[in-house]
Amino acid sequence: MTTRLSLLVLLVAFAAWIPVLADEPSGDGASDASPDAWKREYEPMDDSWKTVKQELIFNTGSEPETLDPARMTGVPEHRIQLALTEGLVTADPETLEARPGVAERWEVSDDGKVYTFHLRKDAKWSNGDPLRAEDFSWSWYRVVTHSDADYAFLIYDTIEGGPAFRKHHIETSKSTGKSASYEDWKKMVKAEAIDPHTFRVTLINPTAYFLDLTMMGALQPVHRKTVEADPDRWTQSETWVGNGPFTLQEWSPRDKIVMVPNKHYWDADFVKLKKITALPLEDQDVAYKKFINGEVHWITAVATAKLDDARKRPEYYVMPYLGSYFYRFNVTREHLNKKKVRKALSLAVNRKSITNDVTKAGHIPATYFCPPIEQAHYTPPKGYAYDPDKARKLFAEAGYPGGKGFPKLTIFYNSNDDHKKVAEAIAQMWRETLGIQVALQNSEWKVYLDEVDNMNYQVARAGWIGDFADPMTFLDMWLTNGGNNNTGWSNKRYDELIYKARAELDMKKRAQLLLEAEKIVVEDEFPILPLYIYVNQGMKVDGLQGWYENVRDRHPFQYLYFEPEE
Amino acid sequence: MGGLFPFEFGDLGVLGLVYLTLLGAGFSLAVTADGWRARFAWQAAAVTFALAVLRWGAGDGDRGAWDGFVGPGIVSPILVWLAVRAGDVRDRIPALARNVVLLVLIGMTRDVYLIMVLLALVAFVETDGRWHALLARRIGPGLRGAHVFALVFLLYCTFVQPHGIGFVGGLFHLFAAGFLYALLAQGEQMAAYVVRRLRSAPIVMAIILVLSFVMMRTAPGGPYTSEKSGDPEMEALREERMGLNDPWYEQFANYMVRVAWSGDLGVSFKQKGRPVNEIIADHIVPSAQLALVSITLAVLIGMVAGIISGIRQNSIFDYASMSVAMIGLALPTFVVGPFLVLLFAMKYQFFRVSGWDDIPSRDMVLPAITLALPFAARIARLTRAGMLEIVNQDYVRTARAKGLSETTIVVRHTLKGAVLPVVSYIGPAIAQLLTGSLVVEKIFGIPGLGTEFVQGALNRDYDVAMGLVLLFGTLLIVANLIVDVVYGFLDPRIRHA
Repeated sequence: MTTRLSLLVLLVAFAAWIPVLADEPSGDGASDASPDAWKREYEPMDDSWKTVKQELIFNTGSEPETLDPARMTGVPEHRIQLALTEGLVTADPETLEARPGVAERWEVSDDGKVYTFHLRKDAKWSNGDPLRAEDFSWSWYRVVTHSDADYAFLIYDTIEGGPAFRKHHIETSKSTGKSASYEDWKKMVKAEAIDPHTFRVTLINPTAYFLDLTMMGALQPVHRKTVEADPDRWTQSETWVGNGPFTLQEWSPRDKIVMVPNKHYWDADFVKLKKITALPLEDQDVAYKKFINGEVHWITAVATAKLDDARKRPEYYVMPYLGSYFYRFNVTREHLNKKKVRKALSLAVNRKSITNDVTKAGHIPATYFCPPIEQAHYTPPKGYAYDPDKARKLFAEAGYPGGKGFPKLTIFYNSNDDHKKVAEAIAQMWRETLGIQVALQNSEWKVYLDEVDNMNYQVARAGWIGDFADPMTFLDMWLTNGGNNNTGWSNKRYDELIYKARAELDMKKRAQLLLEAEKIVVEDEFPILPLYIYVNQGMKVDGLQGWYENVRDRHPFQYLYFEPEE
Repeated sequence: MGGLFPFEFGDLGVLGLVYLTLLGAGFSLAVTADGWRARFAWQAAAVTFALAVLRWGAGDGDRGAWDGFVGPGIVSPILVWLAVRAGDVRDRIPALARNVVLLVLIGMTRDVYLIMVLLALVAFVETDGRWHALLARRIGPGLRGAHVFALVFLLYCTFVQPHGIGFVGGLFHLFAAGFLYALLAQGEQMAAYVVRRLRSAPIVMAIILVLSFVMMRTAPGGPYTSEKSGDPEMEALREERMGLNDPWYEQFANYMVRVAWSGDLGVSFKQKGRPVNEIIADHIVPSAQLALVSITLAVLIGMVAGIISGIRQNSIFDYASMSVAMIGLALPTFVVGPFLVLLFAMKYQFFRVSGWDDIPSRDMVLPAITLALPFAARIARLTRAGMLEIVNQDYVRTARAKGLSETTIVVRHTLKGAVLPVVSYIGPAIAQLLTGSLVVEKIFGIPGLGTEFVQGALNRDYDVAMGLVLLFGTLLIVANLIVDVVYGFLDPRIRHA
């Protein structure tokens, strides 16, 4: 994605000035030798697939909270969203680069702030209605003014005029009890439908990951008439209208979701699956058995107890994931407010032993917080490796030789067997290396969240899954008073670096700034104790083609098909 | 507005006529009123008045507010006048006040049919059942015809009428029907007994509701607590819109009024925008199907094994079946379930590992067996114990001495005694099956209510959890009540106690 971006910056240096006037602007978002060259790679070799039943059954892992893209937050929903709606751009199934979606091409201004999308003229909704630039404008307005859209900030924090509109909306809501109007949105926010097929978005900062954002649920278009007719329940199969390669045929909660090809999809000829059934089975053990028994073709997780068995099978896959498992230190507590104490606690943890002997799930031990992200040229800092001697020394320097004078430390985690095992292992390491007393305490999920949010803990287990493929989704968390900071930690230099990175256009320089920032966290100040990077593991049948491993665990359904078994 | 119940005040039609006929019966009683008859008249007045007000409020339907008000609005003052004529006003005020509250809660369901049932019940309670006894004496033999008519009518309402309301409304009506029938079929004693039992139900329900509401709201975290906390101002806006910022007692009052007014149990936070009524209606079907099949299976297996064990005490069969029963009791479902799957779905592929398609189907077999086993075991042990107790009774010995065949002795004399403990067990068992099959639901991927209940509580999905507490509470109370009534049929001693 970013290679393309920097290329574009050169290519369309002037294009941003003329898109309104020019009939067919020359700066072309997909300006490779031939626009669809990349796509040929994903075509089947021959027609043998036509002899096979093209029906996919997979387990998405839990009941989707909603199929309304504006309100989605979780992974299971977003997985299904890929079939049901399509944004301005889509992700390449293998490289995750931006590929044409509703927009057949796009241009970026040289300051990286103005994106002009040229929507394809044959873009349609699943009921046959034409899809217009205005649909995006209204859909985004809807997200920002929806009372229950968690990802609204992606829009109002990114787009020019967004923050002002947000303020206006809050004030209007408080005084009149109603949302700010769409007319106001159109006046205030720079997400403009220039004409039915041209959509121009002006950003506050040159947001490197903006195209990635347009692939997210919150930025997907919705069919205005359908949504307005029944704002809460339009996602039922009876009323559903979408623009994705597939459309909703049946949604039977906690049982299954059935999708069939959308005949009005602009690329309907490319779509090969005839039916997709998504199951919401939460019990991974059951899902695994179903897979072994041939009842499902693809499961998106493997029960820890079954991993040994799964690894022996050819259908097993594992890949790094955009998620980090770590511990928070409450730096406002006495003793823990000492940098050396936190560093010693971090150095005393043998992460390899935790991933190899405790979780045994193929996790990647990490002394850094943000996983490497290729698209953003980001390689995380090294951090400090396991070093018990140095840890002891640091602890003594901090005033607790052999752990003397250090009060009992409590590790707080949400009740779960895996978290418990990790906590026990770490407690043991701290006891042995530093000679301190460590206790464990657990609570049910919501209680745990509440306690962490109120900073009512000493050391707390945590996990973080990136929202988009950019280090920012990890690193802006530690800004002073950041909504998810919850450690009490604050560092001026860190804040500066993050703000600078936000405005930086050059991707390499930006990555450098972010790296410097993360170094403060994992090599100097230690408000957190990183443990490992999550992995995605699952099973998929051999015959399933067009499915590629990628860090987002994103598998667009239009590429999938079954090949005859050999 | 819809709600759980099939009828709205908008169209009274035939039901309205029936309702007015019922009121007519009230008149005739009130005219000759003294004491309890006056009480009945008062209640009828209260119900009619509530109805009048409600129909006024429900004026958003096809009819205007005034249209809705006219009928009951005219009738109720007449009833009040009759009631005043019939008895001392001051005596009646506490009862009236109490029942107005009750009526506001239940009457607002806008279900004329249910109102009728409730009217009958309230009157029944208020008159200690004498109203019915009087009716029974006056109508005499004709009552049997009335029974049949009532039963057919109720069954019709249960299975034919509930257009769109699905299973929940149907169940409600079925319970009401069975209950009313039981009352009609019995005499004064039985009625008084049922009244005693019935009086505690609203109190129990109220305690359950208040407690669960307070516990839910005071538990740390809320429906929107998540790992990724968002924009605080926008969050505040959302909570304001959802009414989550009000004090809990205000929320409780709002909740109760809404539930009572329209039968609307709210909307799920987690399953965004999905109405709780729909959640219940959708998921109670698999739960009920599973519960029904399982309990039938459990009763069949358990009773047969228990009876044989009881007759052939200390035989090989006795030891064998009781050992199996012990194992059945001891093995938790999360062991039995996966084992059955391993054996019959993986090793021998008779069934799918999980799924719930086009029931009745093979998908039902394994979960039903898994769920039925512990209940069958318990029933077998209860039956056996009951049999043993009866077999040694004098009258059984007398029967033997008279030379009756063993079959006759078992069927005629011992079975009824043996059945008693089982009956008292089945009520709670059904309730337990409906509510507590979470594990089986998970193992077999069944979209039932247990998962919704647990997830509702864990996610702080207030309305879902409360809706299910309400449902389960009602089911439990009703199930126990039915058992008590049936018990009363079978064992006269209970009625007199």
